[in-house]
Amino acid sequence: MDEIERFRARLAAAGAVVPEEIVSLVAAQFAPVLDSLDVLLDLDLGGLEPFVPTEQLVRDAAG
Amino acid sequence: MSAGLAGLSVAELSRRLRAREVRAAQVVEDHLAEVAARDGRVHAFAHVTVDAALLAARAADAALARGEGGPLAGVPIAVKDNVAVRGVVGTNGSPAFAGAPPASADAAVVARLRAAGAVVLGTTHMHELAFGPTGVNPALGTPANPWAPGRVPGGSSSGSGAAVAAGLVPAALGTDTGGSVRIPASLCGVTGLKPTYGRVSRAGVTPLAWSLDHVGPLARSVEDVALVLEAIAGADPGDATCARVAVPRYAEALGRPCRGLRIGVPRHFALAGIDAEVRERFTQALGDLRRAGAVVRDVTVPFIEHATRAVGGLMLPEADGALRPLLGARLEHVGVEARILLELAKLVSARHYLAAARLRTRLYEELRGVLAAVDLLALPTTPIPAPAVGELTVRVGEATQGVLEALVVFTTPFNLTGLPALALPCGFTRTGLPVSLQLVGRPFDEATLLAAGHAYQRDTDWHTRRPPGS
Repeated sequence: MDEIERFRARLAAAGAVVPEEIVSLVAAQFAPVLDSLDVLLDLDLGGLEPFVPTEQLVRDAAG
Repeated sequence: MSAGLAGLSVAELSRRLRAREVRAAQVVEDHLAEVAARDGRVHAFAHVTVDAALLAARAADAALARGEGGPLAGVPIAVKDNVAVRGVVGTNGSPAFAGAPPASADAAVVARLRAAGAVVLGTTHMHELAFGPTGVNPALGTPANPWAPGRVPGGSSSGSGAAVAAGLVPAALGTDTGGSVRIPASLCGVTGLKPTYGRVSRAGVTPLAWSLDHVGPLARSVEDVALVLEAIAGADPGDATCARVAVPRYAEALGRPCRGLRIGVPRHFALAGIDAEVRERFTQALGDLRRAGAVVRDVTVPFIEHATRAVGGLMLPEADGALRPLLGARLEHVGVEARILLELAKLVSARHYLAAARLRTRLYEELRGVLAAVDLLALPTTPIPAPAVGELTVRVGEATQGVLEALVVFTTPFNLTGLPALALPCGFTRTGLPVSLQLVGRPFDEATLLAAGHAYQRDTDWHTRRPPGS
């Protein structure tokens, strides 16, 4: 399966609609960005909690 | 006839107004005349509030005559078109909002500007829905980069950057979700600040991504940015994310010297994959800071290279969550780029979002550790100067990069972590395009950041250069 077909399949699986005439352009622009999100899943983030800026930043400002 | 007041700084206008050397009405009339004469070419303004501005100027004159008036009394300012201005239809850069009713109330930041005496001159064009870093807007028009028409102004606060650079207004407000104040500041050769997350209220600002959105000022100098920040910063009961942290007198803190300031450079990140001339100017800026007495050393921030993908993993779903309900049936009138991005949000899973949120913690912990050992970080604001309008990829050294990713690579880490970041001009390429230095500080320590930037601008004159015809 080539890159564009793979991208089409990914769009279809997610229920995303991209006009057929611009699929190649959108794939060229954004498929690498979307693929790179998968890198996040492989990172060793230990047992970290999600960041809460309203709490963390104020706590550190006070400290 | 123009009295030559357009082009003066916030600080100088304020000084002349307080000394009653000029009247606010003259100042505002002069700026309106400049906008009328030149904005046809710049295309920075979405809406000019002529009558309201003249009325506000007369009120400022009356207040000043009584020995009253706030710190910005009579100073004109422009506001990005996703920030509510009472009586004005906010387009958010999109034809989808063309028939929307005018705003019934000012955003909190606009109310604060007015309380400080500033005169709102109008609203500025932007990348559609603030959803992009170039400022290119096929539906409502792309502001010209005053340094090089044909090059993008940077976005999403494109009109604010262009208006300030062109001298149409001394200061403007922008919003910054992945770099949208700092990128136009960089490409248009002006100074822009993304304050700490929670430092400035977002009440009345159209959201893009709630955990990444910030409001910040653009002006031609750090001093002017400090004066505007002082007016808009501080807790707001209308915005639950706005922090109850004391607001210092930023302008008074500008006199702090650079001597002894410790500046860390994440060289492994900041000097990889950047344009050769940007590298030269940035290296020269570090030399200038050293000569001013700063201690510059390398630091390592391993997870910073993941910042842009983490912003993607957060921004797309958050924008989808904020914009779809807001747009409703208007979605069909949104331009193709923003609509595609909202569709692509469906490809970001809960696992991606959660991993991005946890990466933020990791990156923040790394940066907190680094900022315990140094006072500030320095890196370029953008790795490239302004690309041409319509350019999708750029050649940087041996590699070809997408323009969108290239523009945001150095700005996204500080939306993720909420740390304050200042963009300021640090030179020009041989073809005359601005290059920008970015300084980053500790949470809510804008005072140190602004003082360092001001010290840099005392020793250099990059921020005083003006584009041709301004």
